[in-house]
Amino acid sequence: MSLELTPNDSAIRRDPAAQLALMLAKELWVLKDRQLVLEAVLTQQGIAVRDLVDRYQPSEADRQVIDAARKRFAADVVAALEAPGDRR
Amino acid sequence: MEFQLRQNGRAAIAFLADLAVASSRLRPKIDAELLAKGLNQQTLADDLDERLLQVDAALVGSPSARAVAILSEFSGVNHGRVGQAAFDEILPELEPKLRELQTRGPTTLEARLGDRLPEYQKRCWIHRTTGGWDGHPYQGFVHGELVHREYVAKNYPGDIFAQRREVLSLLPRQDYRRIMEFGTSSGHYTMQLAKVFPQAEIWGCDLSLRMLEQAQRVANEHGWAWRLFQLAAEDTGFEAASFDLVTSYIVLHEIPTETTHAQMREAFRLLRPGGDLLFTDITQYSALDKAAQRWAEYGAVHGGEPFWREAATLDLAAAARDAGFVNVRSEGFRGAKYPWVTYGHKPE
Repeated sequence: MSLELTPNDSAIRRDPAAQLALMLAKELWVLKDRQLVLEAVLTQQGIAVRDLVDRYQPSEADRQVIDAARKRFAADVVAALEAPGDRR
Repeated sequence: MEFQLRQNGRAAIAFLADLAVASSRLRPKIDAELLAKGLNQQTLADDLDERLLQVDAALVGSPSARAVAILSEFSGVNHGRVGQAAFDEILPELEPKLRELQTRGPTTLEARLGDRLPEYQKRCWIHRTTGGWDGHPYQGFVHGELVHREYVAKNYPGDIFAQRREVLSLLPRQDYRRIMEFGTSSGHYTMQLAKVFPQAEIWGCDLSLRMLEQAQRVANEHGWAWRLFQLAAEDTGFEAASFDLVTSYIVLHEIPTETTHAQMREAFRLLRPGGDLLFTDITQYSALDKAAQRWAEYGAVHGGEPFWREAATLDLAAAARDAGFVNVRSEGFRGAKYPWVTYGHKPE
């Protein structure tokens, strides 16, 4: 018995990018679940963290930290998609 | 056994189960696409291999087919890994109890095979479970308690635990004194045998020691005195005419057809005159239309089921009669297509 009985289906299954995307989706869900649990735990302890986070307005200092982290993340995403520097 | 998964394992298993359910909902869309392309009961090829290629070519570019392929590949490869990872999170607190349940109690387990497994058992990682069926020191718990209960049960039609109990209503007697189960695995069917026939002495066998260890824990927790053996059901070596019922549940598609024939013959040998046989397994392809056969094959090929097709096309009634059984019936349970039950009686 072979897993390669049908060429189109097999080619899709061999696509590592799709499998990686699902692996990351699983990890993302685990983190989202954990965040929901964390919010529930803190609410039980008297800290309504979900509402506090939703309404939180970053200070100028906070914003600079967040902006810098986001730009770095976006640059990493672009770098992963374009040709590596040593091949330009 | 009472236990609580950690957040990581609980969330990951639930995610995989939900992915499988979501994936199954795409199947009607794919069937509709095939019909729209003119592929129906009349135009689909009679030969199954040819039909698989015919459908595969018709679905090039289909977003739904692509999604199902990606999702089922991911589930096939990862359900075992996720289950093992979830278990490893709770191992430190669970292990003392698991050891105690395995060593203290009335159920016995004899490992008669060790690593000397039949060739067919070593052919592939069954169900694509990482490391194979014995690939984790507590694989019986991982599969029986986590994968089967939290993943398989949530994306398989019907109540797979109730089905194990309900098929026993087909049996004509309640007074079985000694029951032999082929393919005990982690004991889900054995539990139902113990509940439905509380007076019976229950023996069970399986090739997987890791699965039998979990069955032993389950039995000991309930105070049941089962006799469990790691051996091949087709060659038990037990005394002839020493059982009243020989039965198995969802085992036949995990073995080659020549082994099914051998298990039928061994069951006949083990039964006392007047004893009964009840083997329950997957739906026979003869009961499915061409499209449903194609889906069954799709799931089997990519789900790590190397013997599915030969099991689904074996004439089980003829096999039972060839072994000597009479009053043979082989049919869907209560008119459904699944599970598929094969009953036989050993003449007085």
